[in-house]
Amino acid sequence: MAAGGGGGAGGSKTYSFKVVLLGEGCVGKTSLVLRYCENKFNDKHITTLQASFLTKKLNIGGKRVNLAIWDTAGQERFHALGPIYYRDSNGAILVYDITDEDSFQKVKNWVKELRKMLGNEICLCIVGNKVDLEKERHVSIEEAEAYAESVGAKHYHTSAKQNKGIEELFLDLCKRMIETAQVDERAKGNGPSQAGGARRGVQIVDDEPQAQSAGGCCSG
Amino acid sequence: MKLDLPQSNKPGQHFCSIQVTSENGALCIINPLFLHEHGDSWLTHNQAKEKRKSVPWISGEGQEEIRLGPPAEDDIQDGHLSNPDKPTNVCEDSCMEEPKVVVTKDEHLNACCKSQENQSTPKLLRKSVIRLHSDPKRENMVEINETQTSDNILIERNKTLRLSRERKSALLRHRVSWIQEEDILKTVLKKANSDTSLSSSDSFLLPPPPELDSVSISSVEEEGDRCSLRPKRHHSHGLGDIVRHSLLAVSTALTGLVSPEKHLGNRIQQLAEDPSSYLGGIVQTFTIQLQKRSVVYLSSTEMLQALRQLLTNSKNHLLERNETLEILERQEIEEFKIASVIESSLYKCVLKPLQSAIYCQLLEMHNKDGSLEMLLDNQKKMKKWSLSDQKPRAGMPGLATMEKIKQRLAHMHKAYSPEKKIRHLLKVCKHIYESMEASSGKKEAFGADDFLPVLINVLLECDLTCVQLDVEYMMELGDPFQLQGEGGYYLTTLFGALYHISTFNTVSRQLSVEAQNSIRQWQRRRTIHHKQTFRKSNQLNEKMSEKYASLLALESS
Repeated sequence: MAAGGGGGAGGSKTYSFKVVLLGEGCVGKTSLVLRYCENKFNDKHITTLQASFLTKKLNIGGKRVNLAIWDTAGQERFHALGPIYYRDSNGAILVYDITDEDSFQKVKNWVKELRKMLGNEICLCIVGNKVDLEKERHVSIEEAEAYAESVGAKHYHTSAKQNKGIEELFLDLCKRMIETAQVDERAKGNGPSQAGGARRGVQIVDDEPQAQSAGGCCSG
Repeated sequence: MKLDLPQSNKPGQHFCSIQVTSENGALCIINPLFLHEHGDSWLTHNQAKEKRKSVPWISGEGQEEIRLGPPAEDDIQDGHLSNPDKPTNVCEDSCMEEPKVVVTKDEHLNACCKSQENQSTPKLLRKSVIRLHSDPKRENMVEINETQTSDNILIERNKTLRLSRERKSALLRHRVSWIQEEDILKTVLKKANSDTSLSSSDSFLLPPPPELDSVSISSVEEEGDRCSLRPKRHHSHGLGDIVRHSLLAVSTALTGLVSPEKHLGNRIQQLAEDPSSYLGGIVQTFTIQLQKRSVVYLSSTEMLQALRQLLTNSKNHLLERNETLEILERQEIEEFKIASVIESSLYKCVLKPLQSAIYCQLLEMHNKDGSLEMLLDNQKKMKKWSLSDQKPRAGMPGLATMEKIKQRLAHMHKAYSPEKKIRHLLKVCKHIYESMEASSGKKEAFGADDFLPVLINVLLECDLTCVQLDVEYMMELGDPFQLQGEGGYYLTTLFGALYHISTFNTVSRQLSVEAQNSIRQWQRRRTIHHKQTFRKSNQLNEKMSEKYASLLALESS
């Protein structure tokens, strides 16, 4: 982190992350993301903005982040469509309603599926929403947090209604996704220390497709 | 062509005129009022610009002279080759014409055009252009007299050509608009984007760059209510046409009509048509293969991916050409834009001619594998069910909106550019959201929970055969970088909706979704960290392919 933040390289780079929102219908996925992107929750606001797909631009410690948030339909009958949405996501936000035990069970199912399909490359956030209804809580905090830890996810408590915990959730997720991306970069040998100078001169794009292209046209 | 600016420097000299003499002796006279109004810097400015632009494409031909005419022979040829009789794009056509016309004072044009462009914006009006086409053999001399009334802007001074009122009214319909300044262009394009975009915010992570066509507003303004901007084909005959052509040619010269993007587009078209060039070679080989079906593809995806590979290879090749690098060096086209300019040009020279063949083969393949039949059967079944079982929270669009949606889908099917198809798709989604809002009575923002069920119900009323082909076409042929934003989201949703319909009431839904995933190796292209995850996703694909293979074995047993 220090290296990336210190150099001009880290500052000049823009990360684009895709985050998918999963969770049963009515757990408040839409409100959560709307709250975050527009900071409007109550009905007084007249908005034509739709919440299925939202974007947000952030600047975290000099790193620019473009966030694309993909909502999914939470109804059980659409469960099968999950993979086409979460494919190539950098992060997933799995939302449950703290007053609804079933919705937490659904989150567990999603976690299993995501880990199976995408491995550890995806940053998982498990979110207990509606903490304003603490009195009606049916999912214990300890259980939820322990579960999250056991699957390598982070747990958050939010209330879309009271705008609690949402900024933190997304900020934290972004930081984790940046870290993951940086690990990826380093693994590829683009150490951030030298990247600053090197990257500027190098035209980055498409080495691999280019290599393919040679083969492609010969065979064609 | 020589420029003669006799008195333009004298202050207060209102009735000076600029004479512009072209290489073949044609003389153009420019209304002094225009100069009075705008000074003469525009003239030299544009010439300089024009000259600069022309350089890469002309070879030693009059480079030291300021060119007012069509910038290069390339364009002339090019235009003829590509569209001999179809002026679908006026900008392009203008390149074919010789430089024999005249620019007139804006206000004159405005007055003249008023009748038809009440809806248009004044800014656009200022750039209005009339094309005037004249016989190359004739001596061409056109002049504008400032004493003429607004009805009589132009008189072509040779023997025969004199415009009457009636003719003018005919020719005015051929008026096209041209945007000169970049900022205006940006405004218009931005507006178009926000029109297209579902939300008013900047929700395209990567805003779709304008297609080459969108250099003319007509293609950006898709709506019928602004149709006056679109040149109409059926008028392009006879005298009106002649006048129109030539006028446009002059304005081309003076306003720098052929933008660097257009130039590059024309050049690419030219290369693609030349079998001796690398691009022409691979494009034509592929085209012939596909049309003659000399290569047998196992699946529709394989075919489309081969086509996408061709587009990608061609793009990479073009990006590395010296000509392209020179353009970048001179900063005629910004670096981030050039790839999309090339992409759009390639759509035009590869996908446009192949579109019907692609549809045809896709249809055959899906008829053969039974997937289309399944989709259509389920569509019928679900239609019955939807009446009783599935009630989405927000209501279905009414008949009128459904009609609009169907029309929009028809447009989507017609478009050859994946990018344009996606724009149509976004409009469809917008219609749906609007009717959801209307029926729910409150302005609430809808998420996927609400939207997807309605989309599915809407689709049940539509021609799913076309939609299915379009989805595949967009997913496989579209530029990966343009599939990351809103367009990518709604395309995914459309795909999901179709998938939901086609697997309605079947048992092994989840497993076969994985199968679908494995076939569509979409990760490779849609990944946000395109290259970083390249390897990753390949591994994933391999995993999935294995799964799919075992699945197939299961299903067939």
